[in-house]
Amino acid sequence: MQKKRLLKSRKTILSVFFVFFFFVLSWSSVNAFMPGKIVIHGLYSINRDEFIDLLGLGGVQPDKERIRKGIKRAFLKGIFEDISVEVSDGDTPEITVNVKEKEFIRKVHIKGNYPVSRKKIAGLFLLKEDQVMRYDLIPQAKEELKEKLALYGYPDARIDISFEKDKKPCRVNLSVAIDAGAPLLIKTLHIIGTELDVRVPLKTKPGDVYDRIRLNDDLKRLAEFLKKQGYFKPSVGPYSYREGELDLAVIPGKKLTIAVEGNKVISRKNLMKEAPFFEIETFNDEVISEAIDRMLFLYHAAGYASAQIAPVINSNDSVVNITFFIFEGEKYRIKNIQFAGAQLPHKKLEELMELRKGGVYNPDTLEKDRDSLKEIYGALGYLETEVKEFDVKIDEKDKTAEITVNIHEGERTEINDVDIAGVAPEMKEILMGIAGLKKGAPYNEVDISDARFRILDYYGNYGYADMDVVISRTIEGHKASLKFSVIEGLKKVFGTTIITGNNRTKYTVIKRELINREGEPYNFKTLADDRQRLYKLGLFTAVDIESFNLGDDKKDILIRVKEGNTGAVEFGLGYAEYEQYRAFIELSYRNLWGMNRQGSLRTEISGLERRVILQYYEPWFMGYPLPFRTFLLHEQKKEINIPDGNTTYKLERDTVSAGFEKKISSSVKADIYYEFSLVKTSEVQPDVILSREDLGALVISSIKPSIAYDTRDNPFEPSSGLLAGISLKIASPVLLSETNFTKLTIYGSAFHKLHKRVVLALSVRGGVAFGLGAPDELPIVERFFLGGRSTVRGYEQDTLGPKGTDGNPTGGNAFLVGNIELRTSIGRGFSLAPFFDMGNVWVKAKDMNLTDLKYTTGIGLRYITPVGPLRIDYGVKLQKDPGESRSALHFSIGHTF
Amino acid sequence: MKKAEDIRSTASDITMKIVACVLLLVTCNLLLVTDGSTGVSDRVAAFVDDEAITNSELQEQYTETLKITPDITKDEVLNTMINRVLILRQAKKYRIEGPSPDEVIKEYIDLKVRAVIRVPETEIEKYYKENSSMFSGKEYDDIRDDIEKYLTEKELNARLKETLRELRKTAYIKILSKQGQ
Repeated sequence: MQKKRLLKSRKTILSVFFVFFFFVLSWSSVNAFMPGKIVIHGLYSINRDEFIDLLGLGGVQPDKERIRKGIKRAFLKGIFEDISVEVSDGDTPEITVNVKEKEFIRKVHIKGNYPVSRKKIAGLFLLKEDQVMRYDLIPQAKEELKEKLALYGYPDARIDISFEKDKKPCRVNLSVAIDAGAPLLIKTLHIIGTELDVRVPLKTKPGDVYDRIRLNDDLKRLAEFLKKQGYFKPSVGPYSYREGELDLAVIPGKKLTIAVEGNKVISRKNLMKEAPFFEIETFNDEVISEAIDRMLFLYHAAGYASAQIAPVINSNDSVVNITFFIFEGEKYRIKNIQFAGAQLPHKKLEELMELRKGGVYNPDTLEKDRDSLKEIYGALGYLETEVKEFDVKIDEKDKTAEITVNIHEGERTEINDVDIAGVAPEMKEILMGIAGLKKGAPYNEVDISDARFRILDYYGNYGYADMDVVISRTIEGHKASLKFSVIEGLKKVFGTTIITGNNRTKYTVIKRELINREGEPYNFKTLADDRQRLYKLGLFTAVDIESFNLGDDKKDILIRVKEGNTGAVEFGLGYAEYEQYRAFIELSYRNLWGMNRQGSLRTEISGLERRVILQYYEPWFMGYPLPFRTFLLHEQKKEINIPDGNTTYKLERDTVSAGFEKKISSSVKADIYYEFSLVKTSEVQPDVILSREDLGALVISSIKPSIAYDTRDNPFEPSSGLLAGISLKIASPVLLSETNFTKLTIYGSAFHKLHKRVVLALSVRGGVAFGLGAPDELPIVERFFLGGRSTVRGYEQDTLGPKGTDGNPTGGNAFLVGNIELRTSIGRGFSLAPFFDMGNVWVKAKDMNLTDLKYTTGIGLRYITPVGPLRIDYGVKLQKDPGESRSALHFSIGHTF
Repeated sequence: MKKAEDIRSTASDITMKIVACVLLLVTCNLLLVTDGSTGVSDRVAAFVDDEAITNSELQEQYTETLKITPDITKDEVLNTMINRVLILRQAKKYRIEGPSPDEVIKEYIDLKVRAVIRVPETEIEKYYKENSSMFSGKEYDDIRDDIEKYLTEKELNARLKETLRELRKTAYIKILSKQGQ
């Protein structure tokens, strides 16, 4: 019996498992839909993957609802005119999608003779390039253009519009042929209604085309002209044209003269800004009264509390004179501010007021200060506080005001209890922490509202975009009980992202930058980050992100981008103290093949060097967010010994370099480059030769890893933060280099704002190098040099450190430099920078000696520009050696460090 | 012997039950699998700029509307749907929100159309005088509010038509196919 029961129970278990797995398999077979294939016809402008993404048909069951949403979603892309989806019967149904794309206007060719520029015609023409081709609008476009040309004085213009399909699918070219015809000419111009000579501002003259656009501009100019003559509300126009006769009606109206008498403290010009009768073209009692109030406001702000203004108006048929008679009175200062009935520290209360002891007495701020005091009491939980009207006693003898503030504080209301309803206990605990309202804390609406928004924000991050928090308050005996009722609403997740407006930029370039993922909780912050990341690409002038529901828990995202101009030509000319002239030109394009790949060609030329750099940048190397950069450089350079102007050596270098950059965090960036250089040095002064590699051709093949830490608030004009880094260069025969060395450079800069106008800037830089062959000196092009505009400014460029027998700088294997600057703004974009620099170069690393540093000091003048400050520095040596100049002057762009 | 028969009978019973279960499950399974693979199709019936109205939406709306207005045509329903898209789009521009599209449309009409309608007293009086026979001797004061309401609705209707006419002028609207045909 027991065995039978056992058998039965086993069978039951087996059956349950069987049924369970059967249903699971059945169910999973329903969900893991395997479409036969998706056939798409008529798709040209976007790739198949993006389209299937938009339709939402990739690997899922294509039911009626999904198909409908897919069509509606794809349509938002803005390029489709029709989409039809058909799913065949069967276990592996075939999906057939027929697409008809909208046609877009590729080019509008404007031909023929027309009276205004081609650009103007293109602007006037209804159908524009890159817009959808609306065949239905062609008659309207033609008619509108004809009407506009008539406004320009060509009423008989003939316009023919034709179109032809472009080579590219779904693109159309329009051709607008214009024959402007004969213009209407102005034979005579009559001014009616005035004897005044008002033709001066008119550009329209007899003999001109009857151009109503220009004529309307003339009318505006004429009205302004009359206002300047003192006519406060001139009537200009209408005009009529008949058979060459242009009649223009002008009624200047009355002249208005404004006089101010009795003003000494505030100028007439400043007072008149408060009486804009001419601008508003109105002159009546109301605007006069308003003007007086505004003028008095200026006097009150200056402490003239008893100032009075009386207007006197004289008028006849042609002129209105208004004179503002001003009695300025005396200037009053505040002698004292006292508080009565206030338990809070009086000093703190006074700090909240605009009126200040010793400051001017402005009666207009009394109410504002009263409100500020009420507000702070409210914020501290004093709900019944009464701040009475300020008692002001004026002492005419001392010209002072004494203010007494009477306050009835009342009792403070405290938070007694906070409850959060509508959530699970563990969530309640979290939300209590987020709300941050503690028992015994003052009751105030600002904190309560902030707490509500913090809870909303918190939920918002988890996809509860529609949730709400309702607060109920109970106050009894100055004890407040708060209840936050959370109404979670439906959780929303991100759906499909639709991108529009990317005519040149590939879909993948945008898609790979987005951090929102389908199925993840919907939140605004992610969308804000997405927007920021897209702007950072530098490809778009506008990024508009919108979310919408197609009736389920998913929020689809529609991103509309507006592409900007990604090509640029930059050039510059300048002067520098050693190079004399400097110039550069750079051509760059930052969206090669629509993939945000960047290329540039830059040529620099100066009195000492010529340089050509061809650069290519790939932001996502092989589909990974790993920026790759490569460049070719050709350089011809002449190094001179500044004091005597003799050439130290000449250099010709060809370099190819390639490497990866990686932003490890918001403040840490690392990179590694391989560099191959063919260097030819010639005309080297014998006394600077330290190594046999200093002469002739040399191959330097090296790898250069580096890392930088940057927390500066502004890289061009830092006022706080740190910049530090370390860089290593290893050249080795293993890399096919003819020279063998290791070179290490470190640097660190700190910026600290001492005052709103003063920034303390500190910098330390150092480097050591070890030649691994014989001799151990590095080739001259790799050695360290110091002195000049960005190192030790009391010295000319590269003249600090070891010198040869003829006094030419040889450079060395080690250097150390330190700088201190006090960058002080003096207004209008100028700043002064007193500085103190120190440093030296040593032939060998082991020779480094801190007691051997050279010190210089000086002052610099800066003028801020968008690309960094224009800089002049004058440095003076503090330890001048015999034969050395006492000082050096430097011009450059950008900060020293 | 009886025991053996009992066992055989029980075994046969179980076998039958299993077979029945399997048949039932296979049927269920087939139903589940074939549920999604019946042929479905949809396409765009009309569009308003970048917003599509699909045939399936039109058909559903048409079926619903027929219950209330039996003599309505599909074209009329489609035009109403286009008007809804236009108004909803306009409401979005003014950041008018609501729990449902119907509520949004109502809110838009109240805020942007109805709110600016003022029927002058003279108009109400004029209507009363011109149609006094309709009011079966009722005093002006008794009927005034009703007349005002009627004239407001009339004006609302006219303005709404004008609004839609303006909105249609600036939108790219295309009706692609007459469905059901």
